Amino acid sequence: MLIWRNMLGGLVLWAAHFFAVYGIASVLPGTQAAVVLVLLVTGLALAAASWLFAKAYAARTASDDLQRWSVRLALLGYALAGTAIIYQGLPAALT
Amino acid sequence: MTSETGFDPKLFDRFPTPDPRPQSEVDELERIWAAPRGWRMLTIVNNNYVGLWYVATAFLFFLLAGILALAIRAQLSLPLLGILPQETYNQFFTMHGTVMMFLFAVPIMEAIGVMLLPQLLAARDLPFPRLSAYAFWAYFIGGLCFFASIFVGLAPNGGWFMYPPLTSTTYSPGINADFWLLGIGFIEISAIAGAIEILVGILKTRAPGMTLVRMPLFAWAMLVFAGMILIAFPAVILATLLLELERALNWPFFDAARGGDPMLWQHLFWFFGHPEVYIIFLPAAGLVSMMVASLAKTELVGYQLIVLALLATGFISFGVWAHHMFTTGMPTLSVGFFSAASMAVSMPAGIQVFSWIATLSIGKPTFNTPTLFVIGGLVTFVIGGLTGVMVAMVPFDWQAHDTHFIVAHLHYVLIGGAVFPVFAAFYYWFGMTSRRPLSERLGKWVFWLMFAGMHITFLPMHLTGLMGMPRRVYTYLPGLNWEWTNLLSTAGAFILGGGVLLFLIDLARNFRFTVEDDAGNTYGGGTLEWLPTGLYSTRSIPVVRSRSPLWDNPGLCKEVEEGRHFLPYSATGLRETLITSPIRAEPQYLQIMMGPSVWPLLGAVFTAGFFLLLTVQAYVPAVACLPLATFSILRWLWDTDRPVPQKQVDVGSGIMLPTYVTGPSAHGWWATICVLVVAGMIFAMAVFGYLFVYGIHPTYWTVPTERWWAYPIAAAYAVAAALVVLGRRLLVRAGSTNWSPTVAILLACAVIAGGLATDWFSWRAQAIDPELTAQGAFSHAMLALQGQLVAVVVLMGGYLAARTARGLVTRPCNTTFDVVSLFLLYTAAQGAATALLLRFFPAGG
Amino acid sequence: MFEGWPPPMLDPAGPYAGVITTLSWILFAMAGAVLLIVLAAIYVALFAKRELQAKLGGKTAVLVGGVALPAVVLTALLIYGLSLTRHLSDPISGNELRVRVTGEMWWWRVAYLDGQGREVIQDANELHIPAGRPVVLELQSADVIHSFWVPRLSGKLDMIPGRRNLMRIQADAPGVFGGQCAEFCGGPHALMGFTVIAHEPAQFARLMRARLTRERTSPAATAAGARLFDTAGCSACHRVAGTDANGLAGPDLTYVGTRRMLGAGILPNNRGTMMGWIGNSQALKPNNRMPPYTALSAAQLTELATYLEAQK
Repeated sequence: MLIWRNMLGGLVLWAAHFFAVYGIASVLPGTQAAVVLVLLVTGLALAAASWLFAKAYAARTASDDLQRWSVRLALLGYALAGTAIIYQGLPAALT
Repeated sequence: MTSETGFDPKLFDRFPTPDPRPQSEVDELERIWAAPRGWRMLTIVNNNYVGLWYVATAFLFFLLAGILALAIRAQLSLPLLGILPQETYNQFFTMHGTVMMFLFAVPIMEAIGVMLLPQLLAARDLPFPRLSAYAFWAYFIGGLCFFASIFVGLAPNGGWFMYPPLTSTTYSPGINADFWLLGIGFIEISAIAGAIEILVGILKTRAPGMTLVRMPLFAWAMLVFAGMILIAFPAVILATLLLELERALNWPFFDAARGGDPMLWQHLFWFFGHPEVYIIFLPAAGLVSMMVASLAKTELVGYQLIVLALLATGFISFGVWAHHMFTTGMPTLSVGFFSAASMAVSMPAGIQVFSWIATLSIGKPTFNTPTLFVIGGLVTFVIGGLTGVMVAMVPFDWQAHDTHFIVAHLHYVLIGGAVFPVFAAFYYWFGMTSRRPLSERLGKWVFWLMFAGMHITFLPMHLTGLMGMPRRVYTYLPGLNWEWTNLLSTAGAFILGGGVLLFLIDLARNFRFTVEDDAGNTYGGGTLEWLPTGLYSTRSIPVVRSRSPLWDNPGLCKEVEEGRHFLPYSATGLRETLITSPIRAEPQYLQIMMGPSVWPLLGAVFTAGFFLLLTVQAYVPAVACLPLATFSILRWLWDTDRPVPQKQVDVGSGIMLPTYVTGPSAHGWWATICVLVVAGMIFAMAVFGYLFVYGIHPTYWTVPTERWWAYPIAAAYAVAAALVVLGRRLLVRAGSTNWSPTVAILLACAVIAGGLATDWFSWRAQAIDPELTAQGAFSHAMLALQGQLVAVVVLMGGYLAARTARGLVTRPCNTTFDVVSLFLLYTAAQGAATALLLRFFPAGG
Repeated sequence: MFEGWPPPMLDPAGPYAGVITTLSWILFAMAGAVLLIVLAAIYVALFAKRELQAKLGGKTAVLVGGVALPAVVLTALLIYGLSLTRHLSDPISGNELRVRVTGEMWWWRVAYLDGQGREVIQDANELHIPAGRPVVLELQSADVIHSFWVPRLSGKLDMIPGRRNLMRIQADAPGVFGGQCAEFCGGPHALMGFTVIAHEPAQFARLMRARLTRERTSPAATAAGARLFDTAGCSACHRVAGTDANGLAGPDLTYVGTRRMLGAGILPNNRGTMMGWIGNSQALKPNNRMPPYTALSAAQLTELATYLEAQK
């Protein structure tokens, strides 16, 4: 189970952020509230990505090759997801 | 090293076994896996044949759609030409796009998967051979009949993306649009079946020891591919269903005058449509990753980065769909998210490109034909990716959208990212299936003609778009300076066609199908598909200890042929393969596989018949096909799930595995979960549509009055779910009677049917007319979706009862029982959700 | 340079197109630079010395070329692009000149609005605007999805049934600007063109005043022409202000004499093309909604053409 979480964790987080902000912008189009909520959700998602990154980093000297490989994949995944989440926060930040 | 299943990895050290095995085992394998001859070849289910037919059919559609393209380019070479009259042109460009995307691009990837994956994983076949045969025949028959519409002037003419209101009955009164909706909708079912097969095959039938880390990148790519299909295709299936309901029954999903919205179609279509192009690209990228390593004669640089890139592309591509809708007037904030995700999704592609360049760099490639196609594809794809980044920028897209700039972009990414890799793969893997390899000399001509032709066609087309020429125009006026770029593009198209023609000539001269004495490992690959094979795949299934087993152990071919690995014989006298665990590929059980059968073919014929006869409005014959299709499918299923007398067998070197396993580690369970994911996505898309049209035109919605009905209906579904759980418990319990578990299931089916009936009649009493408002249309559509599931549930109940009557429901656990139970649980959940949604949204009142 | 350069997308005539052209050049430069880098990398990978190849083959090269470099470029572009999108989507304030353009199969209904949003001047297929000021277009559709696009003035915006999309265009100087429908709408979508004519502000004001007056008066036209217009059936679909001809299904013909083009931007407007269009528009624009009038004699066609030429 841990290996699946490592492989997909960052990307699932990205997906959750994306659909959350898209939902907010769709339900409250053109409002200031939407902008604020999006920034909030983006902050939360980035915090989650950082926390999960740190947790994975701590586990990087795991027991066997496959575990270690999946931890490295997790780190890369959280980093990529974090970048994409920042990108997705920019439309609100630049409003 | 930890274990996933409790299997002791030290057992792998027993292989290769010290002594070669007797020849009689090989003879037995050959007998068991022998292909029928003559007419009975139509009953073949073995992936060696089905995969080849699949690839050939997909390639045929490539050629047919390519001919349409040549006609299109001829018509556009000069202004106001009359080579193709307006209506014919509109049908030609619609069919070119539709056939290329639905009948070539995705199927060729599935087809290569069907042909290559079992060999790559050293499995004897895909896990559901009859399902792949059914999927192939459905695609073959459906696709050819669909294409035939062009010969009778009835081909769809609303663009491959079929936007309403243009494609509603008002503006498309003929059956052209129905050909698309019913024909393509049906073929998508075939694609989903293939995806389930591939996903379960990759996760459950790998050679022992082939952990995820040692898995070839094509398998990784196909895993993401299959997962994406399960999530993306339901959107287009639902959209297709809704538009067909609107056309046939006048239910206004997309009609703004009655509370619907044309934009709903666009959201649903592109939620499918954008992942679709990555569904096409990722398998090609997986092929390139493998070929680059062999052709450069070195290990691939950046395996882990490429795995990340594949996974990331798979996910992020689901967040970019509305970049096809930047010009529709969406709110600025939403538009920004799609622009951001579209930029993000190009990063994984860049990772793959630089990994390939790095591999070429440290390796020593020679400029043979596959290498040329790989490098040519790389350059082309990068150019397409760069124009893609350009159009991800919203203001630029506001100018470039729907112009020939986009036509240029999409052909650069698809030809560079899919067609050239597929041609490289043809040359590279040709030796696996043909007695003679393709000609290297002609191959270089093929490449250079196709490469030059492609760039001469599409490079000037960027300028054509910048000059203001829109897409999908059957002609243009003189004096706009569009002449010379169009003429150039036409010339290039015919050069490209010339290259393909040359390829066909070489194919005819050199392709001689074989399974045994193939031309061999022409380009020196290191993965398992190059092991010596027969129709039974490899004689024994090797223990895998690295990513390139043939390079790291040059003696492996001989070891495998001598039977010194797993399963050098048939343990039960039937077709078998090993089921292994998804992460570490630890052997779990022996799967008994099905052999040739006519029922998948007949099932495909009657399913196709149903959809195609509906299209031409021959309603009585169409309805007659339904029971015939159902019977064929059930008859095929009837032969499955037959446990053998031996509970455990020796799969090699004394290692004992069970022959019958149920529950979450069984391949049948996994396939069912995949089907339920698809059903769930269809439902999720329907809920999205329901909420979307409400949000756009809330004034067309009335608050239901008799909301309390939701409670007894939901309660009924809960009772049904409880009965399913009870049934399963009874099956396990030693003291229960033979029939009690099945009776519990039958009761659950009855309660589910009752729940739907109650939902239907109480909703009809609300008198929200499905023809008058989008609310009416949607609520009835969701009940119809539930109705489809309930019909299947009832059939399943009957099937289970029949099996119980024949004593075929084994105890304490049984695959058929599990599959039925899972399906019933899902149906109950969806039914309850539907009842609650319809009555409690909109709230208020 | 050569004929056809610069192409309309890179030859802006107003600020809303101008900023997009600037963006376009930056994007082309970026793409060109990245392509050169990739081609250079491929060259090195295939032909350069082993030491250089070894460097390119390491994980660092992959991370720099595949991750770091793209991230920098993409981030910069994204910030630029999002800001520009924001700027171009500034809310419409409300006191700009407004024109309602409705997409029809396969022509454009144009209606100039007054300060209260009432339609005061009807026209078709051509739009007159004052130079140097933004004009707000209200884009909608009467049937299927169309898209309004005049590349030298602005990006495109779709016309979607059931919705109204607002777009600003502005021409900096007087001139004539062509456009075309950019969303496949079936049939002769390829022949659905549009023209925007920008005038000096004073001249524009005179034109609008003249038209407002015209809308309220009867035309000075040959009575015979007007009668034939009615008896031949033209008035069933077409309107000429101040006469009994009040058909709304087809383009308004009150100002057809002033139009530069006929058939929605596809034919020059002269006596010959006018007669040809009336006599058999199907030959010129197959499957358009106007039936052929092949029964009309040459004399009748001349009479109608003369009548319509005078509608200004």
